Amino acid sequence: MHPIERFFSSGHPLATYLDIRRYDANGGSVAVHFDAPAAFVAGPDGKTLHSGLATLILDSVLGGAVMGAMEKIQPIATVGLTTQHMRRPMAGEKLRCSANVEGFHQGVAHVTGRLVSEDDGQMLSTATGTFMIGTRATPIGERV
Amino acid sequence: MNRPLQDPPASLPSFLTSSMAEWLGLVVEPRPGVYRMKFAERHIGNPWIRSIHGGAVGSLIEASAELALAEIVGNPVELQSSAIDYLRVTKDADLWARAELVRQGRRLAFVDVWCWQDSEDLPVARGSCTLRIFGAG
Repeated sequence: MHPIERFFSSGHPLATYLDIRRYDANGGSVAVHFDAPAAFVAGPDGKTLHSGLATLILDSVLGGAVMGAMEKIQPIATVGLTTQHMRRPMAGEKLRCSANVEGFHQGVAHVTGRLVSEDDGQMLSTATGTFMIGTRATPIGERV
Repeated sequence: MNRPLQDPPASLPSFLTSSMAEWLGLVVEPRPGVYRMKFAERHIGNPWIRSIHGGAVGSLIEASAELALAEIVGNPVELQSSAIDYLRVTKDADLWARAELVRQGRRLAFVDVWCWQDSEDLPVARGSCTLRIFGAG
């Protein structure tokens, strides 16, 4: 099982809000397909989600790509996350969040990601992230 | 120099009654431009060390920037981008955010947000946000 799938299937609090339909994950390349959850609606129309949903899912999926790219599972921590938001998702819209590890350098992973609507193909958000490898957090074990 | 946001308006944006605000557990503090995310289990990112999800920190930063700017300009605003630096490990406790207006133009504004838990002198994250202002001429 890829770390991103294990992350969302382990009863993680965030997973309870996402109706995840499918994973496409291979090493440092990850895509998660899910429906935009109504719990993150912020617009006065009662349908438009807040940009925070994109930030939340992108941080998770970028981190999952880093975990998938490592030879041995180690704790990681987000150092920086830059996100550009275009159109906001609508509640119930089918979304795909994907990420790719671009490289590792001196203990830091560099990752890019995007959030796309599967309903109309529009780009909703893009992100770049940096993650420190091997933090002081408690190790979570070997990959199975 | 950055300046603190002043004088919250009598009516706050509808965001404060939204599902997202409820998810965040957002509290408007008496101090202008300061907001609090009341901790809840749903904010956990790493269950092993019980730190707050980086995306939840980011969501608070983005929401704080939008709310604070909307209070100043009195027009609808929308966040365009955010760049967040995670400065310290967070813990399972309330998180505060303070927004500072860096520059307000006619159609764009730039807002920095600082987050802390134990002490404002020990920030856990900072964010630089770019926002679009609508209907401002």
